[in-house]
Amino acid sequence: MQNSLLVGLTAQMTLRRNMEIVSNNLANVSTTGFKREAPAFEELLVPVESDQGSPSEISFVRDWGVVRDMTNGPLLQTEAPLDVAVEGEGFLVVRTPDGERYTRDGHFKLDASGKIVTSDDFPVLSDGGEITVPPGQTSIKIAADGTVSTAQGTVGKFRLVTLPQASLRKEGANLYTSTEQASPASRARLVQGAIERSNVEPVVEMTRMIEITRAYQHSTETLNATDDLIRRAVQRLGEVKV
Amino acid sequence: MRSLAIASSGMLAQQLNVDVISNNIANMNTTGFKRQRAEFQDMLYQTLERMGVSSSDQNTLIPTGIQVGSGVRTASVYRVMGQGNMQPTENTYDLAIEGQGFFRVRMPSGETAYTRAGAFSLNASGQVVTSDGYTVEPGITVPNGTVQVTINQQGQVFAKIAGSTTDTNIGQLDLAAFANEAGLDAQGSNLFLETTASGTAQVGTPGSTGYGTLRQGYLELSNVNAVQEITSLITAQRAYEMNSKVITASDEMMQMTSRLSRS
Repeated sequence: MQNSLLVGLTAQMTLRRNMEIVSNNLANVSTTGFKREAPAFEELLVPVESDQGSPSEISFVRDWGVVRDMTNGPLLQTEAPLDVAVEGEGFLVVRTPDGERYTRDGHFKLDASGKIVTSDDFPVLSDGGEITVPPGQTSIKIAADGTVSTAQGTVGKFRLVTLPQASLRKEGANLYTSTEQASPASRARLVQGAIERSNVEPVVEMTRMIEITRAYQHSTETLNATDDLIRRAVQRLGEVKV
Repeated sequence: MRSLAIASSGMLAQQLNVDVISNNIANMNTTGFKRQRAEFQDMLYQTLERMGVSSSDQNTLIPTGIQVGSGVRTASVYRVMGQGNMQPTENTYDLAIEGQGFFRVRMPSGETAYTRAGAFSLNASGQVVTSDGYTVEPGITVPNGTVQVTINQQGQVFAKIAGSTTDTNIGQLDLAAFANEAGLDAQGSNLFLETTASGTAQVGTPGSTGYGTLRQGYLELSNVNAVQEITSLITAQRAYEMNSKVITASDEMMQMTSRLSRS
């Protein structure tokens, strides 16, 4: 009897977590370079004692991971010279105080010394370190392969890397970290004057949200029914006939 | 439930997005106005189950782990410095910049501000001033008895004085350019101030490399594109609505839980 309560409990816990992931996707529907996430569930079989001789099994639900959909988001033209969108599989490299981080958010600016930095002031890296635009330069061109040039010539080349998907971890602020070594990207190109929008599909997320609420409702009803059953059993069995 | 806080961060972000869009639409007819864009970032992630942790003694690893995000935050609201359309006004002191650069304006405080709104006029002493009466640098005074003023594409100002057959060169307008125009600090009244993010102003003559040319008798309109703004407004409004739906759904889920213990 207790088991059906526990199975319902595991279902509700995973559904709540699922809801959190859906709401995070929807909250980030306008976040530059955001990649939508979906939880992955598995059945967890637990043997229980049985009076039929051979032990039977009941299945709990368990979430084992979050799957990230890395497909490209649509490009949005911004006309800003320091906005770049990564097309294809690849990441730009950013230096933060905690080490190198990877991003697909290409909204950059110049800092006081002319370095190309992210909106959080972290320098964007080339193969040879930071990229500095000499003072007085007013027109910046970024080629598809990442070469940054001004009227005075080339000033650097954005480092584009790929990483094994499973090793990526989100850090917030549109940054990713990885436990693996990054390798140069071969199937990515940059588009100047555009940024990559979030790849969240509102319709998909709304449908999932409805599914989750309904599933939650069902499991609540199962729990209620079980509860009723237990209560009635206790009442009936405890009834004293005079 | 975390999803309540997550969805409210989403609603706040979309509210700011609508604020920015409405300011763009309100300034659709402002001379030299540059539209703004809100830029968002995801917030911190909470790692519930680490990726790369072994799931058995046979060195099998959990490949992805569980990370739950905590919503969205605004990273920046920046200005898109694209060229606005030109509108002919046939006014002598209306100037439009075609290409990069800003006019320099001396503020009453002594600071130098920068503007692309070239709706200038003359003050009582014949100086070229902005519509607020601030002097346009480097300071050009039109002499008495001038019949016609011509400003060429390179910013040279010529005056035709009554009784004279030739034009007199009475000054040279210059332009200031910045490495990162998006980093300028907007002051309202179409004026911008230099910041560390914009880099220092590089003054040069109009028409030289990296500087735009001047057009006399034209004004630069705002670069706000009505269609684009309205579509962004619709997207923002729908996103706001969806986030509010998440709040309702989370609320319902919590309600169901509380109804569990009805006896």
